[in-house]
Amino acid sequence: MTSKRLFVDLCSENRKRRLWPIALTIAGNFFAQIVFAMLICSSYESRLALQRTTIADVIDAFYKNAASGAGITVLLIVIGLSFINAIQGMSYLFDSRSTDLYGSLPVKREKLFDVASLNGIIIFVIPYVICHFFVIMLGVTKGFVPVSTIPAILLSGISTLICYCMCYFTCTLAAVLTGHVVIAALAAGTFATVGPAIYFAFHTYMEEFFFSYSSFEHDIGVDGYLSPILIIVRVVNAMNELRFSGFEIIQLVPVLVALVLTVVLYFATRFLIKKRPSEAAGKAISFRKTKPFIKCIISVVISLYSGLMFWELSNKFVGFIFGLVCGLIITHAVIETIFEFDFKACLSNIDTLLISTGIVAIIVSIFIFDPFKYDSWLPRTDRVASVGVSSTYGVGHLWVTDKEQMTFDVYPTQVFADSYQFKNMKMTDMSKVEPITIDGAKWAKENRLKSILRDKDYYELIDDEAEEEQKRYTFEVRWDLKSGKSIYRRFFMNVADEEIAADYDAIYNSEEFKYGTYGLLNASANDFTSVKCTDLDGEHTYQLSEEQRKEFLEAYKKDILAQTADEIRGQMPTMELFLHDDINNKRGEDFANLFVYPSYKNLNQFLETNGVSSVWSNGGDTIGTLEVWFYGEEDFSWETADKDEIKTVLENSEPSNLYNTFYLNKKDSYGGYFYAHGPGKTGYDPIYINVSDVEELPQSLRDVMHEAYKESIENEAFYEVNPEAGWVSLVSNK
Amino acid sequence: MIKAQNLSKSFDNIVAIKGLDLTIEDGQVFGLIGTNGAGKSTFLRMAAGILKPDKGSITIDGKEIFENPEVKEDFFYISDDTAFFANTTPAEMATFYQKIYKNFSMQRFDELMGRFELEKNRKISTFSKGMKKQLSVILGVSALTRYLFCDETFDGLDPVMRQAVKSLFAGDMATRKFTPIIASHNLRELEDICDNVGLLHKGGIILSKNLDDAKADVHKLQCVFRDDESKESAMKQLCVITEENRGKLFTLTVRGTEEEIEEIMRAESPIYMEMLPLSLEEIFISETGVKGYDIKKIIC
Repeated sequence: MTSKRLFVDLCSENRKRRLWPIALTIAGNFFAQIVFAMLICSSYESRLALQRTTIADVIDAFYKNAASGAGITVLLIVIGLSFINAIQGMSYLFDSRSTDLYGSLPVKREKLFDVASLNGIIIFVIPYVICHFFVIMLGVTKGFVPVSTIPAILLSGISTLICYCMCYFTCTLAAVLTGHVVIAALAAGTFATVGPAIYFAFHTYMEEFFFSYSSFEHDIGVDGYLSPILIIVRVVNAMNELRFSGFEIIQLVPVLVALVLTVVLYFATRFLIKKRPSEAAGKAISFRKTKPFIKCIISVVISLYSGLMFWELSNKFVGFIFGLVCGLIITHAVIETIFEFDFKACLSNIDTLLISTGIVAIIVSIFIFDPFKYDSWLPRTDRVASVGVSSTYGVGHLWVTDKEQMTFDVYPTQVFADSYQFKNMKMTDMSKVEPITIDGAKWAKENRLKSILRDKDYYELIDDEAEEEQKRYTFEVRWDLKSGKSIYRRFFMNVADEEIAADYDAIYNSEEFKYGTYGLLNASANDFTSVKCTDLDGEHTYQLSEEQRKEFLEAYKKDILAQTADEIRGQMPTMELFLHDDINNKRGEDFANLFVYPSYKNLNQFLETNGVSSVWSNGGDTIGTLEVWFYGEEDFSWETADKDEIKTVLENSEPSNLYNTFYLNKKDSYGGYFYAHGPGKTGYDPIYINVSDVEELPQSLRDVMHEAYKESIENEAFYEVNPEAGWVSLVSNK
Repeated sequence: MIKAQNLSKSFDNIVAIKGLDLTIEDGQVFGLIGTNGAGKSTFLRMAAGILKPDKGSITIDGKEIFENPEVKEDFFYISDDTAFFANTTPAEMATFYQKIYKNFSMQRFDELMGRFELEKNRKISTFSKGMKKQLSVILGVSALTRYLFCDETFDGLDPVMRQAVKSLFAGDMATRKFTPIIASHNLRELEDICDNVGLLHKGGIILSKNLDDAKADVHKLQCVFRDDESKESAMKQLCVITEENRGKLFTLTVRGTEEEIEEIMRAESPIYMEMLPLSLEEIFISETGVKGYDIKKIIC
């Protein structure tokens, strides 16, 4: 008998042993693909008939949910069936009788593994492809699948099959490393979670213990590849973007990662099955020597999370230590019980418990005592090529679409100012940055241990220091070293120190800072087509010609470059504008936002000339009646038709989107809502306002506020934070 | 020829086989007997290529067995707790083995199924334990391999079936190269069929020899000595394995040929002397008793 003939025969014999998984896979694909597609088609048709949706939206939705072959139902069966087929195919490893039967056959173990693997894949691929074909045909006949999307559908289908293979071989690896079906399931679950668990444990500890740790340190996209499940999410998102953005080579990255991982897992498992002792059948772990490593890894990770959890619950450092110890002991006991299938074994192998304890102690000590001086590290200035900075001090909630930065959705993403700064700002003069970072590093070094042991985080320490007239704001730094590496740190700069404040102002006033912060300075007239805003008259959209757009950007640029740090700290913006692209924007999202300040002479002139509303309270003179509502266990209300009183309230209020642009400028503020009715409007347009100056409000309104919050006001804590609060509602112009 | 040299195997901290040397020649029925936990099944599983030896080697015609399909085609292994595929019939199992073993004879299989009156299209899950044993023997014999490893196969068979299987083995040995290796506790059954026996105890081999030679080498002697002096003299000259006495009647298990023992005893002129044949069971008990596996220690 030739080797090929034997392989084919073994495959056919193996398939005879897999009748129920085959039936389950066929049924799974049938319901997850065909039945599901039929159901959503019916839903889409009825929505189209009622004109509640458009055919374009239906095409997009049908692609995402059915035609791509990677909808949520398909993903569930990919993960579920890969596990079932893998475990069932390898089930002979869990039973000593079956192991004896297969082990005595004149067939190499690798060949048996190849047979089981090939069948495990085929029994999914064939039903998947057939059902997917029917779904596409259904979509085509209904008009939900344009011919142009067929290549995207095919690529997406292949990607889904690669994901299935990746999950399948992850589960076969789990089966080979263990000797019991339940333990294999636990192992598969561990493979899916241990990567992200370790990664996020590390970064959580960095965040908790190191003042100068910057969250940008882990914004590098690796976390999406730490587990087969996360890789599948990336693949699905990439394939969905085929429909929206067209083909980009970057979309293949997660698919290639999945493919490479599949191949690696296949060969690793094939190698291990040769080495696997037959006597492992029925035992928890196949390779005895791996037991201590597995136990240590799981114990250490769980202990670290347990420590954090108890610290959070108890708010005490001693709670943290308690949590670490508890996590170690309980995890050790549980794992030993599982390994030996005997509860009495829970306190055996104390040596590995001691090793795990030692590892945890070393890790925690490093975070507590910072022997490597992470928190106070500063680079030598002669090794720094450029620097980017980001601070909450002075820059509002700006964002812009960064065409070069793709999310895992493989689509240009909107980035906030701090991310934009860190990508684009490259200052070469570090003479003003250095004093701030030195001061910040010194403060971090002096206070970190105090913070940990006194159970106070850095913000609580800042509040303590505020009483001593220190005012600290976050100041994040990205150093681009001459070696090519970028390093991120966060410091807390003391703006009460005149020298520090002056250094920061000098940074803010520089062109490098402004070009690295305000994304619109680098935008072109082709990036947007219209300007949107909201005032008391409602939402407005202003279409601008190319010439107008150029003029707009030029005016804004002049104002920004002329603006000083003192100016921006001393003003409240009057309006938030949104720039929108009506032509090229496939997702319907805005391109960028900006705030209009009173000092923006050029921009304000442009807006006035072109009839664009530049003040949020425009339209307030058409308000007929003002209502104020206080919502709680009992509702209170106040109403006036007096124009002067209405005007007083508006003059002393700010919408939250403008109020929250910068903290420094705030007066005592209290939350509120109002609902505006203007001429010709039919609905409510809620805007959140802060009542900025309570003393200016009408006395009758303040009396009602007092009544509403009488009990809370008696509470001293509430009184300190929020002595009076109100809800303001504007209704009708009748 | 199957040869084991310095074979050792442990499971966690339990030593199953240690330094075992054994040779099994072709063309004979080899009986593997041993105490509970002696390592019989472990040895057979290593011989079947299921377990990898920790030390030493086990070969067939000089070739290692483990992960060697070419060598594994020469034997068929029947475990004590035989596994069949779930929801299969004997015919389906035969079809499977026919694809694996190139010499598998479906004709022989059909013939034997008929002789043993087993239905080949009936679900194996409905078979009794004894029927499953019969089926496993039929499959094994139909594979037409040189060696057949049977781990306590006889223990589930009724007396009639045991005789049938014995005659089956004898018939195959007469017509082709066939060497059954049978592990069993049922020494009375092995005694009828085995040519050679290997006695395992605590992972090692106590004896491995031809059964007739084993019997010829150990005798049971009942005697009554004239006096203590003659008794002492006889005891010094005889190689006594075990000794029992009821008053003056001594029952001795003695190693040596019949002629040697008679000569020694006649020299002492006992009042009464009779040589009795030993069964394999008595040889087993005697030999293992020497090694400390003594019934007296268990029940007294």
